[in-house]
Amino acid sequence: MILSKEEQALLNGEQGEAPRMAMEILSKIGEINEAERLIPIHSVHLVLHAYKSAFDAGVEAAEKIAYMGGKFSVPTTIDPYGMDAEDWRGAKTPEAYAVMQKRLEDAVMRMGVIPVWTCTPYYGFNMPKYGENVAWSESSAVAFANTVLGARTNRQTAIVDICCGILGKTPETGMHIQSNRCGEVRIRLEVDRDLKSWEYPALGYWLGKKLGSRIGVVEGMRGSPSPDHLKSLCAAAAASGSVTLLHIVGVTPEARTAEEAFGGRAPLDACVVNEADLLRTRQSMCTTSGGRAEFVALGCPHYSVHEIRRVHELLNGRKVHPQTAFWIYANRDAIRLIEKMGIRQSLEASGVVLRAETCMIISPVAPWGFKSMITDSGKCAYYGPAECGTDIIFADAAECVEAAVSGLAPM
Amino acid sequence: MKIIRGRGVIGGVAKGEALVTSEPFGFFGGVNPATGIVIDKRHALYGQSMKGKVFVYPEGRGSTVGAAIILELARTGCAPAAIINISIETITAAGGLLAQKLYGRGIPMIDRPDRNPIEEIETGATVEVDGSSGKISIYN
Repeated sequence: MILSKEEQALLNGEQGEAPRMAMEILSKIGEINEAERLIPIHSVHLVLHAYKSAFDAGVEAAEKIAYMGGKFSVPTTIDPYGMDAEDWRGAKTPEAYAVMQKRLEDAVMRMGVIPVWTCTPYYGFNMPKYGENVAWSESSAVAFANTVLGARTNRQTAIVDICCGILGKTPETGMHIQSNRCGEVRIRLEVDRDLKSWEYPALGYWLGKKLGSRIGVVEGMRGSPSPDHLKSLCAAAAASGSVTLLHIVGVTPEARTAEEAFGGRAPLDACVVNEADLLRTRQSMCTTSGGRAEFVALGCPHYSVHEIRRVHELLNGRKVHPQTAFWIYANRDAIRLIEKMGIRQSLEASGVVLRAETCMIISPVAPWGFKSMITDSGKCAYYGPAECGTDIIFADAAECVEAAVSGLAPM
Repeated sequence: MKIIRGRGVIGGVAKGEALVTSEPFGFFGGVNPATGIVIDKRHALYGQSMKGKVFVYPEGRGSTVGAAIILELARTGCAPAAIINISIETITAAGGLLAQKLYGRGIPMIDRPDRNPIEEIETGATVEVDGSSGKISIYN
């Protein structure tokens, strides 16, 4: 890799220990990926955010870099907080866990993070434009940035993202290079109507399994999927596979046509997905069915204001079953807005709990002893069994609401 | 003894028993870093330990927080002895690099092998990995 004079000076430690180590790590990562140089980036989104996934090593690493004097030189946002930011005690967060979460928070705050604590930074001011280079972690946001916004980011990873934030640079590799963004696999969606809301995450889950890290070109998507639909699709695809970019013809900015998406190259592979495949995928996402609805969890990725409003409408003043926990995870912006709209108060009167700035996957839910979880999230269906220790029922948001009211899980 | 040659990604030499899977692997939600045991119920290796093993799988997948999990495995002493991939993801390589830089515990890593290690190496075989030269030695 060719380093500029300034970069070489950083590597020699002329600007201090933190930029030196950041440069050392980024140049090695660049070398592994055969990058020729580092390029400037407009923003960073960090994934070292919760003690549950950072563990002691992650907290120690963040502290080490912060105390070396590491400071972010470009706008740097961060994934959800590792526990309910409003009421971690009420969420039964163990005291020792909270201590470590606060140490992690102190370290990233010292480096100058913008504390959005959300997996949907694009619903705020960190919204990159078409063609812009950024360095994001958080697999669902990476897939969204490339697929929906047409921005350019690789799947950065914990701690390397901190190095990108300090230097405001990333190795020029992968998704930053035009010729690497061409479609590889042709996927024909044979569903003769707009997808139902549960079908978006199910399609994402199917795509992740089918594609792994290859770039798919999805043809045949009808209608105009909402950003929330695309968010749930991208999140599921980036969980069940390593999907970084999908070309959804007619949706992805650089895929106005299939020809454009393939960049003049022939597809390496082609496949078809139909209604029956989506139904089978839905079944494969569940590890159980029926029984008592113990825990209904929505908001992975964080629920938007629209999605919370929809739940409010579906609930229509009815009460949550006394034996069921019904939690919605959202970021501070969405919560503030639904408070102003009176929706939060109404949901809480029905027995819904708003969990602030965190989520079921990266905050401790084990203390509640839930044996099963009902969710509308494909990403949560993927990670739930290992990270929450529960069985999973994946269902439509409307079915989740009915389960919460009746206390009975969907079959 | 068989030799496979690949690209050395993270340097150092390690020897151990092979743990081989043809399925991609993601560390977050895939392994408990306090024990090294695979916790992904949907994975073929569910319930097996990667601690001290030469872990052979095609490629990484899933969550980008994976590097932090590899770092924690290094901290707890439950990391694999070495990793062999067909194509290494930055997430995995970064985990190895950070373990070296922050804890001084190298996890040698090799990718782009000249023969398919998933077919050539059996679980339980003794394997030596030289992450600097990219040489994989398989003893039976």
